[in-house]
Amino acid sequence: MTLDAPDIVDDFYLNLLDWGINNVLAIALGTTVYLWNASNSSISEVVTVDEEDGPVTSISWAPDGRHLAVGLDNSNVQLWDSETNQMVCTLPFVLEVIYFFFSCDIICLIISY
Amino acid sequence: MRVTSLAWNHHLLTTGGKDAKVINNDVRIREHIVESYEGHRQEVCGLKWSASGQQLASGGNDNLLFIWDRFMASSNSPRHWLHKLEDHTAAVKALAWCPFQSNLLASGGGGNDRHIKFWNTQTGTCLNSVDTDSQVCALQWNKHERELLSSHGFTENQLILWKYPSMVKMAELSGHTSPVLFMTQVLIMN
Repeated sequence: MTLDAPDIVDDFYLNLLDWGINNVLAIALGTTVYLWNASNSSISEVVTVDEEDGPVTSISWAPDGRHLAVGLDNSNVQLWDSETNQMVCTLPFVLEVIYFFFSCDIICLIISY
Repeated sequence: MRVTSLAWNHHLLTTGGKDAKVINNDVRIREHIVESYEGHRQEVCGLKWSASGQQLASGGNDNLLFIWDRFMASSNSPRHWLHKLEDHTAAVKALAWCPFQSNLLASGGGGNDRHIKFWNTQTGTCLNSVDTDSQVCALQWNKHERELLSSHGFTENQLILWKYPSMVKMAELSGHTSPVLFMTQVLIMN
């Protein structure tokens, strides 16, 4: 099987390909991160970062097979939840995202009551 | 300062980049930087934790390969390396921990080096060094057989399947017309 990888950054120093234990292949093509699900051959987009922040320079699946770390040219790392397709946080942590994190916890708490 | 390498160890996300720093981030907590490893002088392009999560291998554009011990006692930060390996003569990006023998690491050198080297990471001893005649971009161990797959750039852009430890070439796969920069394999948990 051959998959096209248009716009993949031709740079020896980057790490742009990772296959998670969820059997989903993650690949960064320029400023966009795509997922290819090897179980059903479906393709989805995780994120396209802003031109001034990109390109994506590294990606890595967490051991849980759910979270994906995305390293950027601007020195930040974004952590994405592949099930909800939402960003969990960025490194370094920024205040707004911390609030988002907390608000999620509060929502979960309310639901559990 | 771009982030060019990432490696997970449970809740730790280790990052390496153009600033030559290797940082352990605990993604669960606000003060996420829990350790830093300083030794590289140029961009960190290779980063892999061993399966046990005890040793971290980092490779850089400074031709250096470091082995760091997660649990090595250290009263001061940043932490000191377990081994500083200076045998490669080009950037060290390709790193692969052996799945059937603990403390065995394979590393590959860039365009001016072209060697695959094998290390006992406990002692820091180089066990073998093989000239591949091409830039080494990535390495993957076979999880089922004692074999190693290497992908290459200048000059041949090929894949080579090696028997380990004899390093006899089992197969050489040509077809790519530019460097095979990245390799990954799936590890389905049964």
